[in-house]
Amino acid sequence: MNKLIKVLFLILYVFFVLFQIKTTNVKLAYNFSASEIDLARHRLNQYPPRLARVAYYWEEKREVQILRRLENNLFSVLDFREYFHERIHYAFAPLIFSGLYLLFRDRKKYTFVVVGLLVSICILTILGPYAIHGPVLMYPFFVFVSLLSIKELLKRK
Amino acid sequence: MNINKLLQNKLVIVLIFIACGFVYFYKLSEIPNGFYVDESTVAYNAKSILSTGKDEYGFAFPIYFRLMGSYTPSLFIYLSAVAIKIFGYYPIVPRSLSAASAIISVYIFYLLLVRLKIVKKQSTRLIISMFFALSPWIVFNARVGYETTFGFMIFNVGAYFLYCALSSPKYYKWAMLFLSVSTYISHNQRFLAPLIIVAYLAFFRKSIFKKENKKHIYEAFVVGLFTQIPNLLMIATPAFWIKNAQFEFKYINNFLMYLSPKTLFWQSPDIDMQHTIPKLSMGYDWMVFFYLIGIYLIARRVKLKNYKFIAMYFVVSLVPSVFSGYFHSSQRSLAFAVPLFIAIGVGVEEAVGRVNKKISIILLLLIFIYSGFSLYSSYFVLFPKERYEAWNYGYDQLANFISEHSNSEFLVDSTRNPRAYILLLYHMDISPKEYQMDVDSIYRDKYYKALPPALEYKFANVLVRPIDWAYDSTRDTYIIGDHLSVSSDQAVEHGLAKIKDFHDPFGNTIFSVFRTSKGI
Repeated sequence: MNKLIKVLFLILYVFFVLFQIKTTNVKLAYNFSASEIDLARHRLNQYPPRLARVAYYWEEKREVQILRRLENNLFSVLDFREYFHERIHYAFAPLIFSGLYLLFRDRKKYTFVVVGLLVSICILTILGPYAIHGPVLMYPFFVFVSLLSIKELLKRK
Repeated sequence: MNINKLLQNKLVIVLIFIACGFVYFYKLSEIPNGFYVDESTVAYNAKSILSTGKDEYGFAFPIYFRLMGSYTPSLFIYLSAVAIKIFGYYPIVPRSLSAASAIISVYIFYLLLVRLKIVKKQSTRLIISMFFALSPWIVFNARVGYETTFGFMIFNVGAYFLYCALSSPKYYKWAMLFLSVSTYISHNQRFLAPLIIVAYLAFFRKSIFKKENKKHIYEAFVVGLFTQIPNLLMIATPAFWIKNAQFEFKYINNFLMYLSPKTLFWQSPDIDMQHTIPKLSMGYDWMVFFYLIGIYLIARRVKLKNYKFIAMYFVVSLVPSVFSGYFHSSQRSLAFAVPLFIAIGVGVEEAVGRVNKKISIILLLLIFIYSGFSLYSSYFVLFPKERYEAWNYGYDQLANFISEHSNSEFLVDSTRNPRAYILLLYHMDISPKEYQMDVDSIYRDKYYKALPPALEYKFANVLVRPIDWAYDSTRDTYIIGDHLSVSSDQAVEHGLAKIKDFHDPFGNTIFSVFRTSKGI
């Protein structure tokens, strides 16, 4: 990729990041409802007394619960169902998946995009899944990998 | 490989089996907490076959058991009958068959890994076999008392021989034998076995249809034809097609649901609480990275024979579950566990190869401790306390109470659990011979016609059906129901007196026994 395209990509990417931050309710991803706190306490009481300390860390410790939330956010980003059906039609799935394959196959050629994709996954993991327009930060990459697939198809013809 | 290494390998394999044996059999009669309706129906019909040669409806040696209308292939029930004869009529007996099947499945998984040579290092093969064995998906299914895991095991043997046959065609007949036999164990295998054979013939036609293979293909064909005679005899009956009504092409989108990392490693979308474990899905959360690397590498190398076989296995094993309904079923997709964990193994090998040996050993140890505690916490601590209701907890206590009052009449409300009768038949240890005489003979005479289930069941001093207030409150009887069956207003209105409550592990009422005013 030449330098100009990279700069344009970067500017556009920053715009997408800002848009994603602006339209995401981050608090919601780390908010513990009364029923969740109650469930954690209830679960804690199910362990044998000799494991009370470990169980406390496992079920109730705030820091561990926040790590679990981060993990939940990561799995929401990686959840295929998050994108298809409501946001992208299923018909595009083969195009996107084969494009992702091509992107990683030629990762040396597209390092810039691969890094961008991984950074997006990290940002979305931190921000959480409660965004008005969904994981917008991923859409440019879906467009890119779809184009990669189309390019490969045309090359084969 | 030298002798020492060979012994070390064998020792590790034995250790894996010991670990499996411990995890699969530990507190097997107590966890799952309850005896699920599918387990009860299998055990009761196995006992019925054993003592009378007929199932609960009085039909002699069925090919498909009607059970509660599912027309389940029969082999697991006949095997359970043998196990009950040897070990007795206890909940642990059918569950043990699944546990043993799971242990054999682990060995088959390991053999397939060795044969495939997709995972090159022996240490990685052993590690992946261990994580396969101790994955929540396999542990859960190793501890259920119905046909799923036994069918999974026999199918795995068939699939293993199918791969072996690519290099040694004498295995065709063995592959055909096991795949064909698996169709007599569970509904899932009835679809899976033909699907994998068709896919195999399509993808490997150049390796299969050679002149020198002619004899072996012919042998396999004869084995297949011969072993499928019972199924062929059933093909014209509605019982044969009972599950096909759900097989619709519009569900192709479900592939994404089944392959989603969130589904596999974080949160099972299975809506049936009986199928799920709190806080765990099918694999452990850390597996997600290796899964993604693994499927990428399989896609990359798919032109190679061994990778092509796994890619085929990967897709085919999901087809029956994908097309069988709108909702996710972790039980129906169990066959997918084998290619899934092979993909994870490919990913692990690729990742471990890039890390320093000492660091990888430390990481592995940490992962093992983390996974072990996750499993202990979710399955052995939380699962019995949070899923007891889905596992029909409490029916044994109810059965004891009814049996203790053998001179009284009982009505058990079945509004929310129409299949409750089989739980009572099992726990009350009702003689199958006596029950067969109470069953409407239409179910015996038109056994394979898939008739709708009965609305009421009568045996010993029990009647199981929804409450008919106008009639039942005027009789001298005990009424048993869950917390929604009889409200306090209804009890006052119909003059019912509460006799006893049965409680869940937290002390909440699950069943109440009332006496009608006529009996007081």
